Amino acid sequence: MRVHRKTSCVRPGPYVAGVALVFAAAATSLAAGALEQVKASTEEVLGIVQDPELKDREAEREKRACKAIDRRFDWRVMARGAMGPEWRDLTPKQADTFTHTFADLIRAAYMDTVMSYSGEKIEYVAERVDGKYGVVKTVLITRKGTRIPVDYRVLKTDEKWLIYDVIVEGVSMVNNYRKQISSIMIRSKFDELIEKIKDKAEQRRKAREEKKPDRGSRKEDK
Amino acid sequence: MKKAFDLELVVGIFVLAGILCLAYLSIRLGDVNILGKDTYEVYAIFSDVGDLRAGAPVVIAGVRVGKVTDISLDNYRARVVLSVEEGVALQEDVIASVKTQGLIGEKYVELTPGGAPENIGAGGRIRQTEPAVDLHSLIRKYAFGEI
Repeated sequence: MRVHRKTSCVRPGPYVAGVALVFAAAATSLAAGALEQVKASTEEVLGIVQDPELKDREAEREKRACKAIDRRFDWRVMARGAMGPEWRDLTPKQADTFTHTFADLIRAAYMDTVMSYSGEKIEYVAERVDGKYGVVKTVLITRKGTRIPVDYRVLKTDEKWLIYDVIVEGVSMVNNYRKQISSIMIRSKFDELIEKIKDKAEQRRKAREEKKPDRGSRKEDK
Repeated sequence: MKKAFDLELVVGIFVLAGILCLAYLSIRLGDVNILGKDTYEVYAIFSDVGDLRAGAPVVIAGVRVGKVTDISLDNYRARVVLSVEEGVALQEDVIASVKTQGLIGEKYVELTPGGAPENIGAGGRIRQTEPAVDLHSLIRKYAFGEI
């Protein structure tokens, strides 16, 4: 009854309908679930990697892909998780340094995986949300047909679902680093840890460059 | 007369000692917590706990800090209740993993402390979990190869 009366009130003009439409659109984009957001970002990154226009511009491709990755990951929460209890003892400057260095390592690792992408299928299975925490479940299907479950743990910050842990076949990435870092922190100093992580990221980057000899030669041609 | 009285006393003490031993044994073996440390309970949801049983130890860095008190099914996943010693604070981003002692030993829960500023209170939930690694499926993959 009440609804009926309301609709007759709303009739008056196309303006109201227009406003309503704008609001509805805003609401759906805001309410886009964790799954859609993770999916959109993954597709964006893969799109950049496979973009034929960027094929000869390696640096540009990497820059754009990194930007897209940065928008979807919460590096600070991830770094905090990887550091573990020692995080509370870090000075704000140390925390920033660590976040920056650690993000660099993960970015390098992620780029490694993404650059070797060759049309594997990704199934977005489900999302589970509990307050500001969520999990997006996906399955990566290799070209041989092996199914690898990959879960993304996401945290809601200002309507955006940001990834803070990646779980492959039940093994948490953050936990892997947390254990290694806590044992390094026991025997050495913070600065040494930073050096180690920097070396590792550098190694990964070099390995990737060596893996792509054809791309390298093309660069020389230019 | 005096001698008989002594004998009764000795028997009495002997029986009393026996009863005390029995009580001690039953408390120890039955895992009864009478004068134990204060604990609080948190829970975690795992996709697979393998053959984890109630009573299994909960450890941090290999040091026992509590035990599994209950395992039940929750939406086709395993809901595990852990009782943890009071004084052992668990951060919001602590990670709980189901581990195996040795290669095929008993299962236990390992907690890896995190760095979040907030702690999980009594009745709270550990959100980050790692399921038990299924040795059988690993062997299967190696034995029969991947498709």
